[in-house]
Amino acid sequence: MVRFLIRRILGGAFVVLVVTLAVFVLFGPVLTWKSNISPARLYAGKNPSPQQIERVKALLGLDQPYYVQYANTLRRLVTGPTQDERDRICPGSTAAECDQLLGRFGSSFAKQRSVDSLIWSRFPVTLSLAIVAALIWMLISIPFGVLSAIRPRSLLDRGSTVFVLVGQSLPVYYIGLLALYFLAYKYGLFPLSGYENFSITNPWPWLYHLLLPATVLALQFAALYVRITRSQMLDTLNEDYVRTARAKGASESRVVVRHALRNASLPIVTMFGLDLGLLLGGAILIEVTFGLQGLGALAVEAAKRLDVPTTAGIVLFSAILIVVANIIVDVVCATLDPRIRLE
Amino acid sequence: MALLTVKNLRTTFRTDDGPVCAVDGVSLSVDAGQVLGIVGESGCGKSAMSLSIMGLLPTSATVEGSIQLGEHQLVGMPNSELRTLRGSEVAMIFQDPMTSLNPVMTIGWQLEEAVRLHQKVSRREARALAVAGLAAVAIPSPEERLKTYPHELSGGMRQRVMIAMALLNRPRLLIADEPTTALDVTTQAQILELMRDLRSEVDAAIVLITHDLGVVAEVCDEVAVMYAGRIVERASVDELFARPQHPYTWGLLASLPGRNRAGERLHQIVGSPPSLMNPPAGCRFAPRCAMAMDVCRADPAPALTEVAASGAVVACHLDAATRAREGARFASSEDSA
Repeated sequence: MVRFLIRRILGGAFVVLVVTLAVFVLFGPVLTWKSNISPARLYAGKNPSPQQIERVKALLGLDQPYYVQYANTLRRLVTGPTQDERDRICPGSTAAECDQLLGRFGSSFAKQRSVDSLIWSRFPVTLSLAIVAALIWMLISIPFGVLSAIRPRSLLDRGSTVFVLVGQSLPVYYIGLLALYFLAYKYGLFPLSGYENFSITNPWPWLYHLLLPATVLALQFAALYVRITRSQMLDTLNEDYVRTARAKGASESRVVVRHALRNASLPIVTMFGLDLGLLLGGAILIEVTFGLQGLGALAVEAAKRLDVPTTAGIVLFSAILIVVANIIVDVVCATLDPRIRLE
Repeated sequence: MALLTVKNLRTTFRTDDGPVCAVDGVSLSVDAGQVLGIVGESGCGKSAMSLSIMGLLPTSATVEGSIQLGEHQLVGMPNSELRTLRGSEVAMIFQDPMTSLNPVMTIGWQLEEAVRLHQKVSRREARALAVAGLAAVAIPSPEERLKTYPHELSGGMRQRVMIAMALLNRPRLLIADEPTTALDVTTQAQILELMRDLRSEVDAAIVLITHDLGVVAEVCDEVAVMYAGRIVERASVDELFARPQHPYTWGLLASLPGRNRAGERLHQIVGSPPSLMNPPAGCRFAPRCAMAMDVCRADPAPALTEVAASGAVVACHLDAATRAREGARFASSEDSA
């Protein structure tokens, strides 16, 4: 199991490396060639003189050849900004002030802040949204998926089919706006927008602000997951070992939960991990619809302002999250199914 | 009184194209300590019958008739009651050991579960019983095997585990549905030997379902030959091999690969079993029977009648003399071909 884990982590690290290269090339040289946008020019403010641009280039190390720039980017990502960079870019400021400006993911010239501090200020919102939504959609889809698999073509099964159709066909911003109008505006059951920080002593305001956006987000996933759970369970319930369990005299609930569900859960766990990883990179539509200042909203803002370092930073950050989610999925699957540990 | 008495069993599946009667009026009985073989081609209702006894059929199936197991009448018994009998009074071994064990649970977990579902014992006692069960089916170092997963064992080993699991609660009836079909020949022989050994140890009635008359010859006391949902011949093993009565049985016997006919093409019963959705009128074997007469193709089908002085029963319109003459061509003096 330890070797399995090490292999997975090394594989993940390699993927991250490839992503950093792709991000560097796309947001560096390719952007410069294709759109004639040089990062130094963007940093230098409005109508900079050529001298100013050259100065910024030297300051940020953009005058170096690309491979040196990439090596610097990688090093910064792994170890953080060096003392030399700190002295060069924020001379005379304290370490804390400098951390606001410099980070592993680079600096945003639009906001005069490090991309790290931007990401970390937004990430809790997105994380909360994703976790609450994930809880809601799993709590809906596992029971309903299992129940419709046990009684195919029953009223419940047909009802869930309709739900799936509706959930998958209606875009989240449409359901979101409807929910906002009726539940928040007209009946005042939920706040119209905003976010409260999580607190252990009183998590209610946090949940109160998240419940509506998370539910709307969850509906779409729930629709998909009901479907997958149902089809996986249908397949598994036809397996010979399920018949064996029945032949042993196990109760129906025991057969379904202990014998079938665990075997059926592998593809569900896999998808769940990847979807969650993807969501943690920002749920743009939901965040914008509900006025949540999450990573997705940040990405949209950055893209609109041509804030290249922030956009690149978010892309890289989301990629790392997905890789991490993948590794966690692999480990969970390996604990669920001993055959996976072998390869 | 026999331990298991099945009378007039009819198992019907509802399908989109109409009802399919997979088992059509089967009657049989088995005593404790006896092995009844049920032979026939694929799709002749053998498995449907065994699943009817186990109560493991899908909800689209209806079972009529009578299945009396000891003091229990299984037909019409509510599922909750049936469940307490399954695994304790009746146990079953399935065809494919590769897929019959839960791949994500250890062997030990699955064996202990079987014990604890029916016996109020501690985990430790259940474990001890599981170890003893594995030892009984000649699995080496059973203690360590408990920690392994099914995929770490060979097919033969898995079938031994299945047999051990079935016998854990000392069932009175054991149904083995083609227990050796999915195994290679050497392993087949080992499993059959194991079953023969266990026969004498566990005082259970065994119903052995197979399409292999060779297997029947090795382990069974009695045989019922099934064709298209009905029993066409029932006799003791010796009687069946010495004086086979039904043309279908002759066909099965002729298809056995024998020592004496090396190099020759194996015999084949021409055609395939009829669809049970629209079974032919009269004798269901008539369309494939070389000796079919007009009376065979008309209702009513021949009833099971006793063959004089042998205790066997056969459902065939041919007269006794013809059956004796033709049957002799397929009889084998040595039971195991």
